[in-house]
Amino acid sequence: MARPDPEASPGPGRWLGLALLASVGVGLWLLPSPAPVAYQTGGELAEPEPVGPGTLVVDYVDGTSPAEIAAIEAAAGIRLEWASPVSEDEALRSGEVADLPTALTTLAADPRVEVVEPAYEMSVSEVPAVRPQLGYPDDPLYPRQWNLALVGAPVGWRLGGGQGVLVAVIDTGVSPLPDLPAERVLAGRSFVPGVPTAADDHGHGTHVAGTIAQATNNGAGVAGVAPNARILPLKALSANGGGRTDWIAAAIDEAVDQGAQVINLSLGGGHSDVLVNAVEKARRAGVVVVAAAGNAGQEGIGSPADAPAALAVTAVGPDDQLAPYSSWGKGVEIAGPGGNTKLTGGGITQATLDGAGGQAFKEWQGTSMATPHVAGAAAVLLGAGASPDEAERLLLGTADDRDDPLRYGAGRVDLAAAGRSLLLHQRGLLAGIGAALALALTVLAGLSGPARVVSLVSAAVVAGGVLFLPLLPLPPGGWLSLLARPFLQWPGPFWSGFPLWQSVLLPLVVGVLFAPSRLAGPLALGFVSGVAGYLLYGAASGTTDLWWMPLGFDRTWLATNGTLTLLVGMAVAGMVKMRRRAAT
Amino acid sequence: MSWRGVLRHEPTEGGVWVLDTPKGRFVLLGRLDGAVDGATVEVDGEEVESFGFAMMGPQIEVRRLRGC
Repeated sequence: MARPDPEASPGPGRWLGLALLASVGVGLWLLPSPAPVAYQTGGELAEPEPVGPGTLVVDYVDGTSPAEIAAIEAAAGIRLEWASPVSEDEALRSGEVADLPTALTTLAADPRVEVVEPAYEMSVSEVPAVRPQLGYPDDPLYPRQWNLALVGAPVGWRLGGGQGVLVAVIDTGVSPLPDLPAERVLAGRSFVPGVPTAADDHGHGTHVAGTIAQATNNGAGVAGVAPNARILPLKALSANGGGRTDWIAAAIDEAVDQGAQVINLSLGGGHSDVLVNAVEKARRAGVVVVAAAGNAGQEGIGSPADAPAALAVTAVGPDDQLAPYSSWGKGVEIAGPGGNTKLTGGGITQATLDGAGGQAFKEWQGTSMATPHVAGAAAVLLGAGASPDEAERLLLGTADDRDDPLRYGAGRVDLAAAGRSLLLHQRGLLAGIGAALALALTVLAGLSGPARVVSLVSAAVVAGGVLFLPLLPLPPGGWLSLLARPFLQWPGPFWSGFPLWQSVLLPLVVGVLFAPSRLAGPLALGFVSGVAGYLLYGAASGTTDLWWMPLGFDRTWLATNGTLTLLVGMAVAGMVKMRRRAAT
Repeated sequence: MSWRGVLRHEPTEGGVWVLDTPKGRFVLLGRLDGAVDGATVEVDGEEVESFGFAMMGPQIEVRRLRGC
């Protein structure tokens, strides 16, 4: 007859474990996508509109007498009035004039005129602003970034924000700014003859890079889609915005050589076999290539967007409809927010050069602006553990479908949906594998009841992370970000950067140290099961990239260490069983 | 070569000067001092086999801009 098990309460424990796993899955389905709350703000960044033809406002130098003012206005052929009943002290006058340009020129030349300009009407934003969730992010201009809310960037931030991913921006160059710090921007390289560095001499490339990796939640400026990604600037367009196909093709090759995982091409032209070949080569090397469809506002896209291996991106405005300037046609894969500056607050606001060596926040539109939203989303998915193929599949498979493939391809990019899908399918599978291995090992160890539940849950969390955490509207960072990830994806120079991190080493140490403990034994068993599940999944799927391993040996390493970890798990199970027998 | 058409300043991509001609739209590269939106002009320059961020049509490297 079997001895009574002091730790066992068979039946309920197993059901409790299954219920816990099931509740995580159900929670994933039921949790709503965190949506921004709309409210109205001012539209100071938008271009002001003149109030009808010929409305002028003049600020005379204080102390200018009414007689002098009358004489100045008479000489200019105009007659203005005090701007308000209290404006006489400030010598501020306004009124309609017949010939605005002439009046502006005449008055500007008079030393008694301090300021003269057309009267502008400052309108409120026509585009609903977004509200940070629980104060995140705290970038003061974030409320204007309707585009980030539209693509579900907050879920991407909670998925790591592209941590560890290198994105090549092939453009006019990229210059670090206070809101695009130098530690995010590598030195890069210039392919424009006579231009020695990849510093931006236009502003286009910096604006594009900002959409991808703008410093986020730094209390300044604006946010980006993948703020933890790094930017590799490759300058292939000169200061006037043009560049040759051989420069661009060389930049694409360089991006591959430098280890970029995503290439952003906010540029284009007619068809080019050279560019198509370069894109195909990059994609074969495992790089996700994203390219702008063009701004001709008509059917037909050029290279490099017409390369079959490129994700060709059209642009939508804040109304989520194709922007009037966006090219479209056969070969379009996906759409992204490119803005529409005809609507106040409808452009894409990012930091760029102010033309005087400083930083300015400019609201631009174009398929160039749409493209980095997709590149940033790809970076987030890659950083969260997706393979390049998976990242592309997720982006296209979860895009907000419009049933109009020529204009939108698979639909408008939806990072929140892609993230949910990644969590559910990849990490859910990882958690399931970890839990399944833990179940087998707890049976081997003779564990049941709460001890088994502890092993199963810890294995699921170690292998796949706490699945639902990225879907909760909680500020990313700290322990929440760590717990949201599989244990072996935790960032840090001493963790994931250590070559033996993804090996049997840590499970062996944990197993030897904690298996004999009554309380920690089930946790150790769960930990070992989770790591074994993660390593074996990586070997089977090919999604785990070991930076230090020669090409082609990643899977062998993972399979070997996954198997060894499983053997360690069996040994731990044996030790737990022996300890329990000894205890009874 | 020279092209005659109407100058337009497109707000796309941070602002791009284009020339609308009977043969279609051209993107203008280079210095365009004194350019006025809506003006009919003659552009002296060279069509370049070039790509860029404007993506609105073939590009002309402008040598000189003349008002008509």
